[in-house]
Order: sequence, then structure tokens, then C-alpha cells
Amino acid sequence: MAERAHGGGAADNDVVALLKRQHQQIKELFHEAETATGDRRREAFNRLVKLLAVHETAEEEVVHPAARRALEAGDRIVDERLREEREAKDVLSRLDDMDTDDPDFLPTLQALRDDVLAHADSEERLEFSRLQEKTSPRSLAMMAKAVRAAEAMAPTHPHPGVESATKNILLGPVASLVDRTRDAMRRTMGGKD
Amino acid sequence: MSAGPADLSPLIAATTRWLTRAYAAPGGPLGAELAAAQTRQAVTVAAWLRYPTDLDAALVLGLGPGGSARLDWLVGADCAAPDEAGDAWRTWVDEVVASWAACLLGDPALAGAAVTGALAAEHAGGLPLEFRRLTAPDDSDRRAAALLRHPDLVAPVAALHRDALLERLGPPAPPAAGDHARAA
Ligand SMILES: [Fe+2]
Ligand SMILES: [Fe+2]
Repeated sequence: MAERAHGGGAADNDVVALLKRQHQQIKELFHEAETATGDRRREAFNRLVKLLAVHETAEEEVVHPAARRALEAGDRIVDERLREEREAKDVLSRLDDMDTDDPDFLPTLQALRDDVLAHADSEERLEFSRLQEKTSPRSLAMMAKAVRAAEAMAPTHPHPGVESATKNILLGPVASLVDRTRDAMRRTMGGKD
Repeated sequence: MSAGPADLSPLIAATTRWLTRAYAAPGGPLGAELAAAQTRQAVTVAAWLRYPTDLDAALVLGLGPGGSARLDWLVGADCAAPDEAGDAWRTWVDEVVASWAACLLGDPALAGAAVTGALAAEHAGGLPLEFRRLTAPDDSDRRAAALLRHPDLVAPVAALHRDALLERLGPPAPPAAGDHARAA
């Protein structure tokens, strides 16, 4: 199958484009944490920790299981990636316990950067590109949606029905309202019991 | 369609935030992220079990997930204090989902059965998803979620709707040895 082209908004519909973009962001955050000093280094490092944690968790949840099944030698390829992710997590944990002004901090961070970028490169070459060839655009889009859901932030706007929901709490657990409505709708629609 | 009417992610993210704030472990930002990751997986599994179809999801998002008022009252005033992200997210917290997630974090066997059930939900879309931060946490995950995974500490929240979760999951599969005994 021919290589698919990926335009500007591809990351919305393609999990590989989405994860590659995150690899780029990880690279930029390493650079920021290495070049900044004092509080700004701590702040950049904290953002890096957050991005790495959500990125690797989403890969482990959504992409690695799919690659395991879809790729030839998928087990071997994915087990290698998981080992690299575990090792990076250990180093990240050492850095997390360290003061950013500690003389060991920067060399440890630089070593971690080399390992994490090598890991990302292996993912892109050995795992993602093959997964992209063997997976339908629809599945790639569903995986992208699952990754975005895994990384979603809590809403900053209230639920539009918040006033009635508060009233429901006063009247009784809102849970029973959902159950009653669901049951009524299913009966009406003649669907499941 | 990423933000369709059946997108449970605001409910999941808000309920995750409530649990991680109510049972925050001391430590640095990495610990907070590791706790959030496994809690988010538990809440996702719980939400998909509770609202397995797009219709269920549309319904709870339309009526409103109910908010955290009773949970806040239950665990004390501390976590009801305003946080830097404001308080709007609290209206998206789902009490049943929070309770089920607390049950799953405290009980690995239950978590395994719940993941199997959740993968049958429409939201999984047939993808072979794995929730290993929930079902197979490593040492650093466990340390980060020491409070969240402590059955005694989460008992007040877990107990709220545990019976409904057990009912939803059905009886555990009988051991294979029993089949042989009956056949003999
Ligand atoms: Fe990775
Ligand atoms: Fe990656």
C-alpha cells in the first residue's frame, strides 16, 4: 500500500500523526528544561514530566496493544518499547527526587533526553509506520480519539444543567434519575431490557 | 466526531480530578501524574461500565452527571476548597463512577473483571485497549496511589455504590475444578 500523505489537520484523524507531534513537543521541552535555570528549569521539567507521563500512558493503553496484534513480530517490537519506557520512568523518578540545581541533575536529564528520543525514533520507524500501513483510516481515527480522551483535562466551564442537577441532589441521588430515564427510554424504544 | 454528544471525557476527567484531589499522595509532580494516570484508567473503565452505550452517555451528559456535592460532604471540607482551576469542573463529577473507580483501585481482581466488561462497551469501539496502570501497577504506581488504593481509606466512597457495581459485573466465573467435580 502506498504511503499516505498527512496534511495539516491529520493529527485529528490519525493517531500516528498525533503521537509524532507529541514526540516533537517532548524534544522541545527537554531543550527548554536543559537551557533554563532556577525556577524556570523546575517549571519546564514539571511540564516535561506531565507530558511524558500522559504520552507513554496513552501509547501503552491504545497503540502498543494494537501494534502487538497487527505487526509481524509485534510482541518482540512492543516488549522492547515497554522496556525502554520502564527504564525512562526510573530515571525520571530519580530526577523528580533531585533538586534542579543539583550538579547531577543536568547530566542525568541529558542522558534521559538521549534515551527518550532514541525510544521515540524506534517507535516511529519500527512500530508506528508499520501500524499505519496495516490499519484502516477508521481505526487510526478511533485510536486518535482514544489517545485524546486519555489526555483530556477537566472542563473549566460548568455543566449547562448544573442548576437542575443541584436540585436533583437535594431530591435524592441523581444516579436514580439517570437510571429511571434510561429505563423509560429503553421501554419506549423497545430496545434492551 | 471528537466532541459529539456521547463524548464521556469531560465526566471522566472531572471525576479523575476529584479522586486524585481527595486522595492526593505527598510527593513531587511525577507521583501526582502517576496517580492521575491509574485513576483516569479506573474512572474510564467505571464510566464505560456505567454508561456502556452512546445512548447512555448522551443521557448522562444531557441530564448532568450530578456533581461532587455529596462526595465533598462525605470526605470532608478539605477537598471542597476551591482550587486553581476553579470549581466548574465539580459539576461534571459523577458520584457512581467515582465510587466504582474507588472499588476498582482497591481490588485488583475486581479491576480485571471490570476491564473485560468495559471493553464490550460501545466506547471501546472494538479496539484492543489495555489498562495496565490500573490492573498491573508497578512499584512507583503503587507508591503514588498509596491512599487511592488503600481499601480502608476509600471505603466511604467505594461503599456508596459497590453493590450496583457487583450487580453490573455479575457473579464471578465458577472455578474450573467445580465443573470437573460436577461432571464426575
Ligand atoms: Fe513510548
Ligand atoms: Fe512515544
